[in-house]
Amino acid sequence: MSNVIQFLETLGKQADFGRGSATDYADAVARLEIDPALREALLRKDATAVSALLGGRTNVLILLAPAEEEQPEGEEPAKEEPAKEEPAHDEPRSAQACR
Amino acid sequence: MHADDDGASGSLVCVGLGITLGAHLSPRARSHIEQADVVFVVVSEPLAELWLQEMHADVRSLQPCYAHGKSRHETYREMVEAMLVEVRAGKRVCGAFYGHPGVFALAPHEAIAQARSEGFAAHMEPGISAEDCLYADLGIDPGRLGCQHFEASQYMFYKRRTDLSAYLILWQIGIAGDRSLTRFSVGSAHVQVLVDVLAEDYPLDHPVTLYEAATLPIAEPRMHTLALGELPTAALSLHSTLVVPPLTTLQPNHAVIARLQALERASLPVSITEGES
Repeated sequence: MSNVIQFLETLGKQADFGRGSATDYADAVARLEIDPALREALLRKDATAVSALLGGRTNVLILLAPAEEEQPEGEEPAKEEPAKEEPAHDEPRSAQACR
Repeated sequence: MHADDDGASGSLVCVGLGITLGAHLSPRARSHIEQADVVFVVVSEPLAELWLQEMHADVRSLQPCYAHGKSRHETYREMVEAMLVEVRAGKRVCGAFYGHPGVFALAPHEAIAQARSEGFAAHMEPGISAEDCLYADLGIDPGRLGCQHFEASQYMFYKRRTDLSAYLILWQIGIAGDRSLTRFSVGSAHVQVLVDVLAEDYPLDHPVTLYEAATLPIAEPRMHTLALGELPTAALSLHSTLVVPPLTTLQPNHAVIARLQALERASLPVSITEGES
């Protein structure tokens, strides 16, 4: 396992992660046998730089949930019934049954 | 192709990695990752993808399924199909998703349902979600006053009944109001529409909190409180969640309380009811 990834995993597992002193963190980074640029990035807690130096993706997209269910192909969106005594107007399609 | 009867069929498990690298992965989820033939991954943090690659020799990112200008429905279909192709080929497939694989995540649910419909074994292993981190970081107990969760755009598109005496939490606020499903950010005009919707119930000076969980042990969660009316000028990302605290106190339902009191009186032992007067 890469020293840096192992370091982050160990840090994540520790009870005091994120709560230790800055000195403790700097000492832990200093003990790693890693490239000086990586060491500097870790000391700055610059995750983007660390990832780039390790060959990680530069652009991550993450959305996993759509706001609306997909309309079945060829099916017209259901129209909402206009309220009585109100002029009909374009409404967002009504909610589809959850799959 | 459907599952074989000879036990040689493939299988699918979708596991959650949790939010913070190294901190949240359950032993069972890790075991599923290590024992799989192939691992598909969607994570919010590039370093987490590298972390997964250290756990298994065949980790395939589903990131290429995303693209600006492409419908995310198509993205989710491709994610499901990528996993199902390997299941149908007889492999033990693990889908590893950041957070909880079944919370605000369509593809894992769809993939499991599809695999089962084709006769394959498929199940989900929960993970620590951003919602779990939010409760811990912001000190909110959803059982205390109640908590309503909505996807931000869905909250805008449809008429919902908001309980003003409970927390309101809107997810994916960084794309609030995007009807195209092709964007990964929206401008202040879209956010202003959300503010206008909320302003039907909440005053513009109502304090709200923008929350982003820490994805790395070297990062801090973002917890930025501002006035509701300031939201359109705030920096939002794909990680941002909006927390709207209650506006009103809990309103007692006197009619129900009276009925329950009557029930309790009627069920008391005779000796006690006699002694009441």
